[in-house]
Amino acid sequence: MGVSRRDFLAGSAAAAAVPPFRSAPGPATEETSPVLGPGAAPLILRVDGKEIEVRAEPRTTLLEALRWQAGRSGVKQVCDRGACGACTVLLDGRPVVSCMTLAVDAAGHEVTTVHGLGTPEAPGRVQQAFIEHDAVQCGYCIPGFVTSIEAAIRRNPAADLEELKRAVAGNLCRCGTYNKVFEAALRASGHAVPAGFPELNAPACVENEAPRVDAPEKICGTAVYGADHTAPGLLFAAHVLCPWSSATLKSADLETVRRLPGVVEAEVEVGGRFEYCGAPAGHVCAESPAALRDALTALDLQWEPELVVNDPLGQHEEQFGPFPPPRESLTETEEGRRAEAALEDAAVVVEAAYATQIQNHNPLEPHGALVDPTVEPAEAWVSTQGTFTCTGLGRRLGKETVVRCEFVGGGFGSKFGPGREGALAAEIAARTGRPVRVFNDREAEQLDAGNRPGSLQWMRIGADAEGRLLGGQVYTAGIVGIGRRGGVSNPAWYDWGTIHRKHVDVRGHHSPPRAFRAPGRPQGTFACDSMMDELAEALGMDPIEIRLRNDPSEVRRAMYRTGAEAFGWEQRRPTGSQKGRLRRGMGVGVCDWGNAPGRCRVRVVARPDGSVDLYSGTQDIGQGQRTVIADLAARQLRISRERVRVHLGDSQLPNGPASGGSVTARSTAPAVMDACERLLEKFPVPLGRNGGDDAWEAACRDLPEEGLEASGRADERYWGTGGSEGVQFAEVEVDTETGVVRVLRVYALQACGLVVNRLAAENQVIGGVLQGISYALFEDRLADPVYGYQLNADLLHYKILGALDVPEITVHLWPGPEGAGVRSLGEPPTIPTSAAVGNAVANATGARVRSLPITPRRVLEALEEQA
Amino acid sequence: MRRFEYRIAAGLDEALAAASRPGTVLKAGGVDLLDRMKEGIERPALVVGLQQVLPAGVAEEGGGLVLGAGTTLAELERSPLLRERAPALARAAGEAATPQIREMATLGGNLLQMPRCLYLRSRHYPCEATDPGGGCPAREGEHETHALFENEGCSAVHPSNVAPALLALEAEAEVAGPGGGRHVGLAAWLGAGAEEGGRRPGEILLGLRLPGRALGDRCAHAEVRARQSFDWPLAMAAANFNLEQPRLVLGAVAPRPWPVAAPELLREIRERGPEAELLERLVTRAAAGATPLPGNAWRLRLLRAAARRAVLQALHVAEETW
Repeated sequence: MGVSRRDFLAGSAAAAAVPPFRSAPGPATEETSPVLGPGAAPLILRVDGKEIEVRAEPRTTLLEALRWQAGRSGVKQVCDRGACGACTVLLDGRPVVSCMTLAVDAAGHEVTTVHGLGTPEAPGRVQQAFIEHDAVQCGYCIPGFVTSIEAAIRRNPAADLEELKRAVAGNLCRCGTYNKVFEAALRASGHAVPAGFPELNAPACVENEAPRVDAPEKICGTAVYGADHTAPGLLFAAHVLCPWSSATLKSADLETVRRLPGVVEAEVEVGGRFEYCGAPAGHVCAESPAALRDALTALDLQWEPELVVNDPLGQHEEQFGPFPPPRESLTETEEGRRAEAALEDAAVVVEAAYATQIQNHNPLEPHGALVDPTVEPAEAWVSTQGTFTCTGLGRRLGKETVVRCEFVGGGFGSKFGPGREGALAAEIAARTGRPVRVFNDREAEQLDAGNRPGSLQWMRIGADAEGRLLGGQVYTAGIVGIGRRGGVSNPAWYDWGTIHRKHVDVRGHHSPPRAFRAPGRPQGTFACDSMMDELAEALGMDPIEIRLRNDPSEVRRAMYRTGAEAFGWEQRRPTGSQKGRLRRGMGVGVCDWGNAPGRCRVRVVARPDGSVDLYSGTQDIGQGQRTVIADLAARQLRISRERVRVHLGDSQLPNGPASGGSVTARSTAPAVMDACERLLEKFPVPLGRNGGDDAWEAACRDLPEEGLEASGRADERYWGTGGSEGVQFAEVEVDTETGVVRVLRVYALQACGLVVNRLAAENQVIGGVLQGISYALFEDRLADPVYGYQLNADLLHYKILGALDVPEITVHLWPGPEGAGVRSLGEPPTIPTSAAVGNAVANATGARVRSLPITPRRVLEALEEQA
Repeated sequence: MRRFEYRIAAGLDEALAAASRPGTVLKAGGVDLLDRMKEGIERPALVVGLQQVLPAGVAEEGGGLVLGAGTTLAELERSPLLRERAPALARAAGEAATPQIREMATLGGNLLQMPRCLYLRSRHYPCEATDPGGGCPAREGEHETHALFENEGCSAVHPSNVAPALLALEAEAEVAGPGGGRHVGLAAWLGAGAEEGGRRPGEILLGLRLPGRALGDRCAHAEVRARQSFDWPLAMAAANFNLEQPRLVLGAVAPRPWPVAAPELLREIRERGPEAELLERLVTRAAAGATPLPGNAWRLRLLRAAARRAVLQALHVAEETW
């Protein structure tokens, strides 16, 4: 490294004893350099090789200038604090976060965004590798990953895996597509790597090689998400939130705020009492994002917080008495007595209390909507996982409204309906007649945009000497804040015998839970699979063996055997037998999912040019919905998928399901098959038995200009009934000196019936596993115990797993029977992971952590207790 | 962020004048400053950019090294000179924050950033450190990552990843101030009162000198953190056995970098090697005098681990052998 910017180094070398500084400066009046701002001024930025003029205040970030003035909406705003890397751009070739860069400081430098690296039609080298390896799910984070990898490869064209992983250690992917990113990065740096697991999974797939159909737009940054959309004359609004568990709003300076330039509306409920951290207390609307922020600041809210109980155990005590409840209280009913009696012949009885934390959804695209009443029909661009759950916005707006959500940056269960964000946008749009955008900032997203409820679980379970479960007591509590229900799926998966079960919901002062990828299951499974291992340990039995004796699922019993062999389970050492500082352990966890079909309609149109359009109003939140439809249609019509275009995320299209309960693919698939069969029946000239592109093209040539149309519904002939069983094996390394846990590898077996697109299906499982590890080790809503504010309401301190925490993952898709339909895949693979990790930690150390997340502190405390 | 005026200082005089003016803050890489302005706890009327003032780069000087305060963490991480002669510092810089932040954040900014206490950083809470008389909510609240030593007042730990390594390397700060320039030991500049050489109002850090006696490959930085991708350390340590008098400095455990006073023990370890019993005495000494809060006593274990690792790595002894 040479010297730069000033001759400091040479100068100071010559003056070792005497400081090489000039004398004290004169008064401030001698200052000479020009002052910028505080108002906006024209600024020339050099972006992707072109000069672009923007107007920027000194405080305008490069991210804001790029997104809102330079048309670079592929540069995403997620955390706005430099923690997530979604806004990564290259500044003179160096990767920087544009949210923490002032636009004025970027002047005179070369800014390269994801848009400058290629286009969907002509992707750059890194983009092409991402496309081929399906290194994308919802896609919101991916432009940032692409840019980081681009920088790394420019620096070292032959970068190895370790270097590439480090290069994206500042990029967060909530869907968890890291392993695919690593594959793509290796490919881009010249290494030959297979895409996913063709050897394990290829035979049963409809499409075995091709990546998802919308990968190019997502990866090149041209996909327009709700938060990317804009409109002429746009207004910006936000809710005002109460930060405290319980507080009265004593005052707000509404007069000042309403006089500020650019403020359109400002309302807060002075005198109101608010009962949770994140409760809406009013709203502000302004002409620009900056004016909105100024208004929120100038409100100068004065709160009078009150002391309430903020910890789950304390809340339980207050509402239901001590946790766990005294055993007498559980055995006073007939059911309780029967369960207790079942334990009389038990060889072992294990009693244990488990706890799981509150986990915030944190989709990277925040919740929100842009409602535009100035177009006909009116439009609502919503970040939602249910197009048709948002159609009520039209009533609020008072006119016919189309819901649009062509691309959605993750939801994980938290984005049903337009939310209060969409409602506010529609109300202001109705009042003002102008388009209004309400998208949460990350703090609002953390405080009240969805969480997985916490849980307290107490189990007392007996088994006979052969390891057969006899029954016992299960007491669970959901930690629901101001919500109503925090169900916990416990007992689950096994034949538990005679169980007496009781559940209570513990109310408190945080935001209400929402459905979160497999609601109730990861919590319950963490306890149930931990208990299974505790029983096995007490019996001196192998954890696989005790599961084989109690698992009613034939599929999972086969998975245990196959998985154990592939994973190398026989190398698992006896629990607690290791003495060194670093100890390795193996653990297992299981899952399943229902497959009741949902309702769905799909329209298909064959065009005279031989292309095919499929229309469904349902949405893609990262699962690969367009791809499922395209690949299935291509198979049913016996044509290549390049002929197929898929149209989604539009409420004018045929009604399709919201993405909840893993229902989207399994409901649209039968409708696609039905529609395609009906289309084939309608052809005036029957197609040849084997079809093919040539026959298809010939048959289409004579179609009328508007094409040939057919509609299908989720016909039961094509339902994918049955289960979505899964078993996951995890290996961890525990540093017993520090309590730090690293997951080394995971082997995930997952049944999902017919695999439509192999890469997308594998990607779903990887994402489920990584979200599970993140839940197991890192994530926690950290509330101030006194006043209840969520102290880590950002992505700096709310810890989501990152690239350097990602293990090697093998995905083993379990084939369904011949003729099986498409089954659930979204939720099941995230269920077993935290239990598998917890069991592996216990196996490594002999010390069991019964609370999530498994932090260094908890590991050390468990080790101490054991000693 | 509130509105502010912005000026890029053309020279040191201008920067120094600005440094003493109320309502004005200086900006190097800007990472910590933007963070505070976005949170709303920093509201300057004027921001003065130092990009044309701060020296940048790593160079040899006499037998030692000089580092410009404007050098980015990424430059430190990649510097062949540092990797060879002060690997502890290259490592410490390379483990801080994220790759993108390391491209932006400067050496000076990393040393002078505000502590990472979640209360101090929140506009919703009063804070004794930024608003004397406000009281400290961390004491009754969440303080798992707070100081184990010197935590009677503000208990936030010193946030710099590179400070322990720099102290172990006996870095000397080169600062400019309203009354002229001076050289002062970094330990004193960061940790002592103004009368003992500590930071005075209006001073600007220009660079650091690492003396030749401290350089060599027998120094190491070790940190313990929960998440391997982007996290703040729960404890860290830097050890330097290149020096005639070896040094061990802890980080993330006190409001300043925390030198361990164990000169004889460290010399004995250098002479006899890191025998288990010696190491045990050393890490016990390192933890001595700690006054942990109720929620963070468990981190004493991590402090001991970090100290042990730094020593072993500095002496090129595989950790697995103890």
